Amino acid sequence: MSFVFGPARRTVPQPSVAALGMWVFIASEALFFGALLFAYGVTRWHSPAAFAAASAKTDFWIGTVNTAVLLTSSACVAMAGDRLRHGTSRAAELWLGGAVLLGSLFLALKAIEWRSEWTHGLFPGPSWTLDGHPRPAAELFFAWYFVSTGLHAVHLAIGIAFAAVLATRLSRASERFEHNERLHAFGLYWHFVDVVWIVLYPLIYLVAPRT
Amino acid sequence: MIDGTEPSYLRDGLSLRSWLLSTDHKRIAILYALAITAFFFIGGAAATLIRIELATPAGDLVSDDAYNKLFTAHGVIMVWLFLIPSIPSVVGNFVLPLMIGARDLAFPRLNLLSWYLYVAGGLIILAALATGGVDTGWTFYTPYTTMFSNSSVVLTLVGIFVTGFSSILTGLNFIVTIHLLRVPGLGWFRLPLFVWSTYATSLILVLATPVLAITTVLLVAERLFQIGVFDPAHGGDPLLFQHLFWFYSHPAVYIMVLPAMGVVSEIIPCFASRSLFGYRFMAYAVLAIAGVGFLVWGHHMFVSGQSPLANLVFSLLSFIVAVPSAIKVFNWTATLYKGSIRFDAPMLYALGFVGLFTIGGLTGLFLASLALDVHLTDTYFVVAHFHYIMVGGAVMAFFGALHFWWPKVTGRLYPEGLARAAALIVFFGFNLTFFPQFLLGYQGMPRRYHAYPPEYTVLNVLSSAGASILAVGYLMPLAYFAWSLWRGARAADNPWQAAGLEWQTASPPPTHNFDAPPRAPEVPYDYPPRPAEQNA
Amino acid sequence: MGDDAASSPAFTLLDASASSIASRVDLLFVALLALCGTVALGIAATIVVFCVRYRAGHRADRRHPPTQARALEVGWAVAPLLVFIGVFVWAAWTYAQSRRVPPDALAIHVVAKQWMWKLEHANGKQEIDELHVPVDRPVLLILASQDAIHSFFVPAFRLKQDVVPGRYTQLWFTATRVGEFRMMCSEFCGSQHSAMLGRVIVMRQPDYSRWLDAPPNPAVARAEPAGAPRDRGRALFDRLACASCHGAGSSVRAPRLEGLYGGRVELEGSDSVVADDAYLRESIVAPGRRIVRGQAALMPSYADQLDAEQIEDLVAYLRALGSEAHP
Repeated sequence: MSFVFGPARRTVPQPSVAALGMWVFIASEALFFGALLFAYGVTRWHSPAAFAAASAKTDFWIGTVNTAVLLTSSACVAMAGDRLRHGTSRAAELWLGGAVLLGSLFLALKAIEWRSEWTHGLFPGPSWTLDGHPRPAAELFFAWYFVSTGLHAVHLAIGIAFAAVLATRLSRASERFEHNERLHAFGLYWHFVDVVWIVLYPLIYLVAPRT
Repeated sequence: MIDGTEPSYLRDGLSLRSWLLSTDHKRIAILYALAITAFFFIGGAAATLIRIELATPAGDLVSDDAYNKLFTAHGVIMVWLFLIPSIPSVVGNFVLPLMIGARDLAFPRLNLLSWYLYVAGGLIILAALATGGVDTGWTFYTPYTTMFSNSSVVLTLVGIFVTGFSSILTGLNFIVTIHLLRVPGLGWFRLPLFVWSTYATSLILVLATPVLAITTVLLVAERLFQIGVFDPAHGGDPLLFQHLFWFYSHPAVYIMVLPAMGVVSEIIPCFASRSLFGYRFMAYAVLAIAGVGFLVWGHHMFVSGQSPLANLVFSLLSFIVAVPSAIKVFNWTATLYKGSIRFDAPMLYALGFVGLFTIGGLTGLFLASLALDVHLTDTYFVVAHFHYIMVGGAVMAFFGALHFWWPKVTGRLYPEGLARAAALIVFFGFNLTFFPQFLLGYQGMPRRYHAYPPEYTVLNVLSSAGASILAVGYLMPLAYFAWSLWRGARAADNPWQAAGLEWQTASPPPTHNFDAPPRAPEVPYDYPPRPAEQNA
Repeated sequence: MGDDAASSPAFTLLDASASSIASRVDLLFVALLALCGTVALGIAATIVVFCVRYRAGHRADRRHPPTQARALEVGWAVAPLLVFIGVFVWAAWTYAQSRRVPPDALAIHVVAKQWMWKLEHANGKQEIDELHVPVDRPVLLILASQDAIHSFFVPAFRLKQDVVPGRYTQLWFTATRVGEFRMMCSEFCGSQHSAMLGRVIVMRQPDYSRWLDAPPNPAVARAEPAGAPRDRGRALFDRLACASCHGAGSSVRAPRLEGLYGGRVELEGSDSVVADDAYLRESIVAPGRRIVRGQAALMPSYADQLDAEQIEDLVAYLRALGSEAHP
């Protein structure tokens, strides 16, 4: 079984079909998350204080640790690509495995954070309050927060799955050319998911100055 | 249905499984054609009921809720299950790789996935219709959709979300294919205009559809969890929905019309036996329409409570986006000059497109004018405007494409006499249906009215009469195309003597498209000069 | 602003033309129709002529068919652009005039709800699905929605305005003809959207004054509470015990409401806002959205306890409180 984004039988071999495909996909994803950012921007512009009050309730430490985890995982993926081009596929597999572990750690920490927010009553709904007081726009912050981080997590989970499958297949020497292409395309996706988080992080955790 | 002795893609596997698991772009195009035809007639059935109801002022055929569900079903099905996929996924899928000398699209398996996503989304939408329907209008305005509608809103939105991914993946496939799989020597300015149009359409598919996806996610979240993003009582804003929705839905109309323009740019040079006039401007115009088309969405919101400054900006940009379309109409007309013109069915549809798209486009100027739009928006003037473009334009072009490439796709000829008659019946029926609606709109008949005040009766009766004629025009091809598959004469490789690489291979083509990579033409629309005795 | 005498507008087209802006809109429409009609006919004629002259088998000079003509192509791109910009300016100018509210306009409050129109004149007289206005006087409609988005449309006036929940929208007009004109909802709002019809009844000024002072239609009087909006608002204020937080001597020390209307309010963060109708309404319905500087976010939302008309009444009362300090 080959990957969905594998190249077609072509009359003229060209090395960048998978990469171009991934760039186009990333463009569509940029608009996907971009629309969410627009909704955030409009709502925050209307109610800056409410957003600040809501952001103050987010868990700064989990968010920051998670950022470091994700950035490190991107470094792992970059190393995997480098090792595959210049070294053995075994090293690349290990680096990919590192990315899988770190990505999974991110998701685990995220789940802990969500659970904590749920128990503190921060999940939006008809009976939502902020510390017992109704703050409608603050509720919207959390609505946006759960949608954005939820979609981000789905993208990350898909990335982890692909990384795991890719890692197990790198040992097939016969497809060396395609593997480089695929890993390069995969790396683009993983780095994009990372960039989305980097954009989300200040919008979630850094709205108000923290003491 | 089996063609002559040569092995073609049609004979390459005869089981159902070989069709349903095929990654051959030509077979996938046919899978799309079958699904799209089914949805077209379902959407058309809704339209038929609407026009029967509107033949009398009283709401006496169906209840008001049923009527609201009918016009919503018509809009949702026609927009997402017919117009958006029709030319790209049927014509584009089949013809694009052939036009550039490629064996298939860049990602053939992704292409098959696109079809399954489309069918899945379509079935989900049909399930929503079967479980009580949805009554919000295809525009799903909030807070009615999220707080007041008692209908299958969430299911419909999920179906739209799924078909959206079909669109995005198709666009992605086309972009990569056009960039990387052209036969050597086929530079950008040697490409047929249909390729340019498909490319511009694909850019919109990839960049606009994700915004729709997020919008449906937010709508579903609001409806299921009352998160408040569109609810003023929770600090939300109903106008935020309109901005998000129209940011996609305006470029969406260019998804529907740009491929149609591409088809017309293929048909007219062929049946005028001469090269397209103004090739470069035509190519740039297509890109300009796609680009500027992203900047005009606010013209759907002139009376929504949007600021007057925003209204001015969107109005000006809406006038600007009309310019490249005007250029195209002039260039198609100029392509007839000094040609040698044949009036086969594809040409009748293409000329019909030019006329009806011109009227539809010109009426867009009325709506772009702020003071006029205040009166005309949300009336039947708008309904007439967009049907002139979508039906008089895109559907006519789709039918033109079906007739033009029918011999290539099936290896058969359709009956020309019946086809011409159907084209003329469609043209006449269409105008009788929709022209009165411009007048209805100026007289103030609002949209989405189940029953209407009696002063609007005469024009509504005319419109409904036209619809019955239009229906005949649409049913005829169903009959004679089916007949052609069994009894039509066999087609040669190039029955129209058309330029274009797709005509350099057999009708129907082999699975691998070309036995040897074809040679790129020196110039596009390489039609030979007329024989001397034809000249005056 | 009204340029016409009571019964003869300058220009009529199709439907009755009954507002000061209608004749301008009709003129623009006819001009655009002439322009577009000429272009459409011109293109159609050209296509027909070419199709006849150059049909296959017919002898004609087909040597050197041109594939480009730069000057022509640039020309037919620039010329339409200039014409379009001209039309844009004309239409935008007319639109701008239709949005500039005359200072002496008669204010009428409108609440749209599924599926009827409720209108209230300044003296408190109410109507349902009917709007009586004097001829040749500017009227300003202040529109609010109870539920979904509606749209107030009078074809004879060539005017329309969406009515959006959570905010006020405005529409002004000067009726120029005496008579009755259809009023319709033009934004889909649910089951009986097409039944949400009404009439605008334009009367001569003396007739209007008489009508205004007369007691209301018995059906309306039965359905609606009597009295001026500010009095009903005061009753609500008392019933909901707003003074328990906003009154003098409250331990909560919520902002005082006397003299509030029309003044500037300092908000949390560094923003400030003028306390107008929209701000007061928002403070009742979505109080946590923008909080006064130095206050805690304690006020609950009254969106579920009050309908749009009651909110209008409360705001009218707060306006009255405010005007005591800002005469």
